[in-house]
Amino acid sequence: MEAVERNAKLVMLKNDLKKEQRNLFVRRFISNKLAVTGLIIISILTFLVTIGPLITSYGPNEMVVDERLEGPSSAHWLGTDNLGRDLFTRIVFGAQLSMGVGLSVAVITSILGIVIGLYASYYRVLDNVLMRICDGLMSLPGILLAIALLAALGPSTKNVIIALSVVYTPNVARVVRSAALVVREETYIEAMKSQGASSLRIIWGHIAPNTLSPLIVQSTFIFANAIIVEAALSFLGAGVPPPDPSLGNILFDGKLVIFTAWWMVLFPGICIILSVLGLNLFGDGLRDILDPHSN
Amino acid sequence: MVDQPLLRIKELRTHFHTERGRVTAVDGITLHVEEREILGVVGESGCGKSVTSQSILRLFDEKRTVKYEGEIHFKSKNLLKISNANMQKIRGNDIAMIFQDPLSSLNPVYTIGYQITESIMLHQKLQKKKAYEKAVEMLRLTGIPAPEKRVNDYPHELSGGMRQRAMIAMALACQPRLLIADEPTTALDVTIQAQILDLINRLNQELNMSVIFITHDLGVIAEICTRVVVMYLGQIVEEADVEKLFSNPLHPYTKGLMKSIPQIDGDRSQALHVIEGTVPSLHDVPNGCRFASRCPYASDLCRAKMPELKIVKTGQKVRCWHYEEILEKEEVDV
Amino acid sequence: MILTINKTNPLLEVKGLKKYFDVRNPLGRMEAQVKAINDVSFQLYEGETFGLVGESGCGKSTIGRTLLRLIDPTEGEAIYQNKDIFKLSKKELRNVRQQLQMVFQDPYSSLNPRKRVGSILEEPLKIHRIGTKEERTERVMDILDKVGLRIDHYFRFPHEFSGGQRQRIGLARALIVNPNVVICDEPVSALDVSIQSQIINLLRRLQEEMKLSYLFIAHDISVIRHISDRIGVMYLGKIVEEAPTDSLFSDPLHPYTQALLSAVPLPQPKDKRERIILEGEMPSPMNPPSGCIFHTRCRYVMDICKRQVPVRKEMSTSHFVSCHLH
Repeated sequence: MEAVERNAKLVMLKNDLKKEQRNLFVRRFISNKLAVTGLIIISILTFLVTIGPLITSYGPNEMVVDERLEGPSSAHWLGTDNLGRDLFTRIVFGAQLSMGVGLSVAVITSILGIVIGLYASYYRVLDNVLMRICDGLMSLPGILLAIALLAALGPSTKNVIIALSVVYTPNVARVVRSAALVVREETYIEAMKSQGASSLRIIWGHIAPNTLSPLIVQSTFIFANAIIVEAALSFLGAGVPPPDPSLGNILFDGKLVIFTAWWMVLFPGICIILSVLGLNLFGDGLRDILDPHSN
Repeated sequence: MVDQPLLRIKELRTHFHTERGRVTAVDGITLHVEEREILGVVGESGCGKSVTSQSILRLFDEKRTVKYEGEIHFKSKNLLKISNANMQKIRGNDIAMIFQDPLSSLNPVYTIGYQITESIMLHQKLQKKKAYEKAVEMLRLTGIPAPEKRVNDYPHELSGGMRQRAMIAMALACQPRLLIADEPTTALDVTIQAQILDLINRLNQELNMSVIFITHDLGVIAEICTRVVVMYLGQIVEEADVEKLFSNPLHPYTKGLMKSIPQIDGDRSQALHVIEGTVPSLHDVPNGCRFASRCPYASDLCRAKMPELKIVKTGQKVRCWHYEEILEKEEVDV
Repeated sequence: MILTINKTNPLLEVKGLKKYFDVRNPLGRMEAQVKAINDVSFQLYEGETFGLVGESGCGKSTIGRTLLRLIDPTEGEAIYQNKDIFKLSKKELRNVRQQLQMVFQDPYSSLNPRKRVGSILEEPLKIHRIGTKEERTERVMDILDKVGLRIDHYFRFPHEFSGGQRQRIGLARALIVNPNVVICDEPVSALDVSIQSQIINLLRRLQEEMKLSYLFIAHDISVIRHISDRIGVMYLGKIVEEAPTDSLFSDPLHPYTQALLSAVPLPQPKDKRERIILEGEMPSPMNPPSGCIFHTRCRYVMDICKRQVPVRKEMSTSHFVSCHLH
């Protein structure tokens, strides 16, 4: 009888808890102006990029030869480019691709980074090997390394993602490793060892959750960085192969006509700036929210 | 005519702004420190003893987190009213402070000699060579062996006890009138603690210096202090001469505290006395007497209305509605 | 509280335990050895509390960690149930670990801040594969009750608790697997006075209820005295004196024990005792003094102390001391 009562209470507590927890996170998030601003910017961009293809009547590679280099008008909201393609449509598709690349890179580096970082922090020997490889990768300028990799792999969207993941994984691994090194020395890890817990359980069950918040913050920054570097790569001609639009490709096309068609540089530029700014603000805010020392 | 006390605190309140609203860590402290006395401030964590001492030196960030109310009179000045620049002159010069953890209060990248010399030069406008000699002298005074050599050591090269001595040497370098010692022996071993207590006692007599000694350890209080203030949740609950406090504690909290420490010569077969419950949160301070929720004698009056800190016949001060009845009851029990 | 102890058959017997830590220079060459535990032997009998007291750096905490194989010993054996803990296979070790639990000093860092109390307490059961999901939840609720916490606490995070409550959680984590021996490493030293007494009483109550044996490691002599049946006094990696509690306090034999006892500040301002203030500090365990390790600070130092290591002698029933004076 008593046991039943006890269990009922436990279930009740569990339900209360879920509600309370959600509220608390939402409250803390809303009170953080940086994070909210960042999130709003990203949401608006995402929204535009998603509905853009539905509201435009042009295709991204559809050329109208008569309407080359026209300024913004009611027919072409953001003007047209040197081949007579609608700029709005190209930016929408380009941003979709650039953000897609950024997101993929952020996800892939997070997964690789957490595995490498955790195991490096836990096993001394592995640490030496993995971290020296990371040192090696990080000693080259990111863009150069990416270009070299793309030169070897050949330019394609998939290869851009692979190259950028290789460039950024060491960063994430380092962040995870340094967080994990601190956690590893905590008494509760020792307590788990004294219970006879396996390494697998200690690493994934106890150390990993404590590295999540720096990891999440780091990956939003990598998301933003990947957008910039992807644009740079495409601009240099080593990224997404034309005619597919990416923000970098559009800028590259605009470079030649910068004095006659300012819109070709301005609008994709703004798009890059906003998405990177939004992500960075969001990341900064997230850091404040997730950092246990700030409460 | 009695001399003015060296330090007089009147109705000090220290408020902090936190994410969960304003918190009053020190709530209406009135106390004084006489010339040459060692005043003990005892209480558990969260009672506001450290906040009080740090408020005296205004060590909190006044722009962002903290607001002070009340008066702190030192040398005919109200420390809460003077400018930051003037406060800077008093810190380390007239009032010095030593902390629990000497390793984190000494800068690891400078030698202890450099740090002491720097503080002397800052406050006393002495030449570097003179200041250096004085630093060596101070280290000798605090009983560090071979001070000429030790003066060139970095903090990490010293042991815990030696570091605390170096901290004391640094604090004493400008001959302060008042030394605030915030749990200076808590991190040390008993045999080293005995050495440091001995040292503070000696310096108090030799240098005509008053000491505020903050600790949670009643044994240490009994060992070194002349007068004691007992704090609970931001308030003073009892104030007395050390002998009276230990022979005749009046407040139920003081009584409970004394009974709950295991003694080196007490009865081992009995369970220890326990003060039930825990200290309430500062975010949720009770309306009436702050100890009421844990007090075995609490009445409705206690829960409704806060008692004042009154002077009683024995010369003690106590903040309790029922201390007389409790005394009578205890006499009957005996 | 003073139990009749079965003296013939110790539950845990530690013999000649040594732990030397290598100090290496940056090139990896060994420069010196820190002798953290230097030949320690003692017995823990069923149902008793054996206290290990000493100042920081005397090696008392290292002993606890070595017994749980968190650190590998340099030499020596620890016999538990006729087997040497130090020679167990991985599988056997897991079994022994269920019966040998530890309570840690720091109530803040000993609980994972990202786990809820319920899952912290369930973890040992999962590790030792005890019970079904429902049975485990039951046991967690039982143990919460036993250590004086409520079901309401089940889904809370450690940071929502005070130090004393956290220590109760730490204790619950150790006791949930029904151990025989609990190694308490300074379990109350981080707590406030009024909370300390709550935890000490709880430890004593649970010892009786669950038939536990404690190895109680602490630097606070009054606490050690209150809870222990027998006490070993450690100095620089060695036990210099070992005796039943009352015998140790009424008749301390080793000069270090005498100094240690006299250094404890008493909450009695009137009777100021004559205190023995030890000169200097504990020598570095990297090169401990020759002969008797305490001779550099001893009031009664003689010539022989510098040359010869004193042997352990039984002065009265179960009262051992290693000193040339005796």
